[in-house]
Amino acid sequence: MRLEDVRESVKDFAHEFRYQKGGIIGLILLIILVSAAVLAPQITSPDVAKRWSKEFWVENPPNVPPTWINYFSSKKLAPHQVYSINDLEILDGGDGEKILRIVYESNYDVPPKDIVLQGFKVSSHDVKNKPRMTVVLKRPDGLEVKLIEDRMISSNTVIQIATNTEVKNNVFKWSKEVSDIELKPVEEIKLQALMDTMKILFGKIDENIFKQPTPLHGKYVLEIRIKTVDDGDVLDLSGFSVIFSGRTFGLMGTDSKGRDIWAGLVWGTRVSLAVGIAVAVLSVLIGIVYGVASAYFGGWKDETMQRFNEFMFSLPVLPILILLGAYFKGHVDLFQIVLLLVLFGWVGVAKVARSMALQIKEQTFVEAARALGAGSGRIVFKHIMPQIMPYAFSQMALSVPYAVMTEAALSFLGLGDPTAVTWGQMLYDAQNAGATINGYWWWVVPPGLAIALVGLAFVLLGVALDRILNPRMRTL
Amino acid sequence: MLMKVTDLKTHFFTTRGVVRGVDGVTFTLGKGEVLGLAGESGCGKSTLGYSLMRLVPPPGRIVEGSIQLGDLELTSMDESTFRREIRWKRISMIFQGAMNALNPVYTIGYQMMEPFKYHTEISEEDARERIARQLELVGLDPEITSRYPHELSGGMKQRVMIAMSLLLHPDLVIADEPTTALDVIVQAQIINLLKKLKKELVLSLIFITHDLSILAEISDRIAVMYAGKMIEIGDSKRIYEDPKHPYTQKLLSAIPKVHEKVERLEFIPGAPPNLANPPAGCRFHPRCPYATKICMEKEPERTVLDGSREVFCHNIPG
Amino acid sequence: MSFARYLGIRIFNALLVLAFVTFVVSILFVKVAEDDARTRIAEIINGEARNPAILRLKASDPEAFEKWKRNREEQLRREFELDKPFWERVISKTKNTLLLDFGNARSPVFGEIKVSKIIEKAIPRTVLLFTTAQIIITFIGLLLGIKAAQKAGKAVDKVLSVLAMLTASLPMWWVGMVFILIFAFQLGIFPASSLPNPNLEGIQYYRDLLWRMMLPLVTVVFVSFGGWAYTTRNIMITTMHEDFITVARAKGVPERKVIYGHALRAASPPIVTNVIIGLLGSLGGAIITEAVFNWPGMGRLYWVALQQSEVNLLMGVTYVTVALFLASMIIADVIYGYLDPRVRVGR
Repeated sequence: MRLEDVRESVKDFAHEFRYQKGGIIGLILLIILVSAAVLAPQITSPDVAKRWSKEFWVENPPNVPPTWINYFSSKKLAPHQVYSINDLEILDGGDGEKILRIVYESNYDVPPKDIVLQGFKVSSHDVKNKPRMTVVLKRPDGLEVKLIEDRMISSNTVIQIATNTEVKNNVFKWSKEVSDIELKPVEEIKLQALMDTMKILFGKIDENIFKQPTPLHGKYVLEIRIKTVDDGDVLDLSGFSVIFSGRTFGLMGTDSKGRDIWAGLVWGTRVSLAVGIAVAVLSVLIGIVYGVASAYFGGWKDETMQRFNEFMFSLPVLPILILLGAYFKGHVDLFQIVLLLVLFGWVGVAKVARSMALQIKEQTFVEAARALGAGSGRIVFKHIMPQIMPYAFSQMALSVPYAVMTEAALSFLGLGDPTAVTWGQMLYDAQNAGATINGYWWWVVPPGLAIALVGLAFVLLGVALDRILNPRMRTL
Repeated sequence: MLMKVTDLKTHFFTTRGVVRGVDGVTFTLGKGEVLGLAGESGCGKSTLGYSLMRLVPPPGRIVEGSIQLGDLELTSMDESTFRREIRWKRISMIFQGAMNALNPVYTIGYQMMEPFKYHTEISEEDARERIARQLELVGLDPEITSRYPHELSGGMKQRVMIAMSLLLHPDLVIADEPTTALDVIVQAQIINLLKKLKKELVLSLIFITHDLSILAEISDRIAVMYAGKMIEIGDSKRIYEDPKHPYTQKLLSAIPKVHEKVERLEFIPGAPPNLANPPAGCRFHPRCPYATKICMEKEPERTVLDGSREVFCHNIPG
Repeated sequence: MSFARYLGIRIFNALLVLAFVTFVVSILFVKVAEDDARTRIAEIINGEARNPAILRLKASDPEAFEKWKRNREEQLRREFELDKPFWERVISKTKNTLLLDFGNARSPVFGEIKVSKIIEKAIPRTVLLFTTAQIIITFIGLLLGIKAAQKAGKAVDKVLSVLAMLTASLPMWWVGMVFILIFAFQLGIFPASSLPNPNLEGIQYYRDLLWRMMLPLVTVVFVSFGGWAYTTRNIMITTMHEDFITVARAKGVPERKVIYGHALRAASPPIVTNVIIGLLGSLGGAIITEAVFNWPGMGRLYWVALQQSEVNLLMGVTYVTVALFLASMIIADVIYGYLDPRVRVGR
């Protein structure tokens, strides 16, 4: 084929493609998916892949739904919010005192799960005389709660307001005072043990304050006062942050390890596309070479190759893959997965390629070429291959969903690459954590939809390619 | 007169526009007459055949004109009456080559029994008897009723088809390229069989073919179609001896004649027009050596020569 | 070649394939089992070494301790058959597997310890679930496919094509998970786990079984019927373009009979083959779907075997699945031969 012909046929193809609505949708989907895969570090954060399988994501609340569910539910849940030092208002209280302020607008019916203060860095020479911190919450109803009073802080201090005993005592005492509720001592102990600090802090002061606080909406101010007593002390707050641990998180919520599901989804695109495309391209190429070679050799070689092909065809793929996966002890890396899938992927293509090659071989113009003294290589590359390539392209696209789904299935059975971020693995984790019976839909639905989306994109593309490149299909 | 077709139009409504498969065809057919329908492939002759059976495949349909069989108007008849009363009973059809005309999963007997089942009340015994007689008539052993189509040769299948078409003694048989795809010897056998049947049964037959040499043998009259239109109809012998329309002339000279010395075989330059967008005026003008200005502008009217010969050409003096 | 002879060759071929696969798989299996046995032996010896008597021995006479350790190791190696040469173990494993002797599981599944017994319990449940599903799918698929073929290019047909494409892209087991979320968690209509209640008896048991089977059944049907209908449609459209359909119409055969008689009957061999090949193709997804629903069939066994590293069980289910798979292919051939006279008489 001359270059000009190639350009011409590409132009023809592009022209025809415009009329394939499905194909265009598929192409758009594919572009989105590829962009997600390429830009994963920019869209989320670059360390996702490294952190994914190794640790709990302690900075995130586990098992919370995405933030946008607030649009659909009457009960508004506080989202996850992180305030770094730059987000805080810093005032000088005089006398070596620093005041850090956060204005928190709460319109939520369920307050944050927790407020975590962390990232102090203190160097002092007197162990008994470290900087001291007082934390106060000013509420929209004008009341003020002293959560922590004059607590010494050191470099590893982490304060979790919801579970801190000092805070709990302070809040209980305060709420008893302001609400004027008479409590018997026995009752008091029980209530104090059961009370939800956060709900009281963000609740209306009335008779229900202990048992069922009504949420109080409005502007809250969290004030952190830190006083350096010793002149030689150095207080470094550059790493300081306040986390309002949410009842909801980000675009897609979190899983039981606090991992951001959105990040997993975006990063999962990489593995899915890489495995899918690699498997499809490799198996179709191998299949075509095998099929054409078989048809071209003929005779006993063809017979032997066909026997082997039939043998492969008569094997159930997944059970064998499962066994092979188990042979690798469930630590199949991505490269091995690709090899395993290719091992079974080429069989069908080889069958069709062989029969196509046989048909082409019989065509008059090929016989004419042979009569004119064209060599076998020339016949294969000049006549057989160009006619099989259209089939190959559409077949590649149509093989991707199969590869993606099988990869996901293996991962789901725990036979994937445990260090990679894959959708199958996410679903495996979800299954093991009982996500379905606990109703963690945000953990179950998106990875499957993502798999389906990849499948759909390639099916649409494949069908469109097939219609354009193999015109006899058009009547169907 | 058995059948009268007037200004019949069958169009295909495709996504790429309206294809005028049959575009205003008029002819008559007498009882016991064999009308040969000739033309290049794609000229609409098969579509015409299917139109008479009202079996035009979608997206095609008859849009205009009338088909009269005796006193009955066929185009306006409702579908179920047409199916019960006309199909196979009054008009039957022999299909192209017979390669695939028999359902591979049913026996010959079952398929031959069907016309009786849907059109007559006669007992299975009698039907079987008639099937056997019909098979003998076309030179087949009645025992083949228990066989499947793949067990028969192409020629045998075509004989079965012919026998089947005659089962209910229809007024008219349409034979659509019945000998194409058969080898030459079988072709000759089938033609001879049809000739024999024509003589014995006084058969009214529309014989569709692209092979004019076959028509010379069998037909009483010949109709030539070009691009969905009839261009010449007339007595078979006279058309052979003295074709009037330039297209008929070209078509006839494209057949090698055994007894004449031929310098070179003629062929018709160019291709039949695209029926979605036929040329204005006479449809043959782009390929016609005698085309004049009027041929490009005005469709030719019918010219009747010696009473029964019709030609559609501007260059024939009326 | 007569059909019987052809069938004989097919069965012989299948048995050959089965034997060969078993052999290859046995090689892998023996390797895995060897590693497994080694760790087990080390575990056992370490456990016994913590015995006070042995500890005392170790303290007083280290040489005697070493000797005891060697002896014990030798003994255990014999017990685990590690003393025999590798290929001998492979051959014996192949032989045992072919004769359905898969050994024991480490802990009981479905109340059985023998792998062959466990599988014996699982097969009917898998067959029950998937045959029922397949019957429903075939029925819906045929009806829809024929409708779409009749109205090719119209709305029904287009909707079906889109539906087929959409559902074909869904992993069946994931749909199962979503259905559990919707029907078990949100609506609470069906149970999340399909493990039948063993305490029920008689009619009660079957009602419970049916109720628990509903969700997996709906899942399989939901994912598969679109693709089915689409396959049927394509085959039917090809058939409807055949000359003999036009002939049947010309003969005045009523349209219903043309479609459900001539066309469907002529299309039935490829349809049936496609049904069975498709069924086998969905085997993988079906296995995992069972696991998702805790349906106590073969799929559940895969899950258990993988989660608890039951090597013998895994070997057993793989062998049985391959055997069933090959058997179904032969059944497909037989049905094809029965339906298509061209094959029946000779080929």
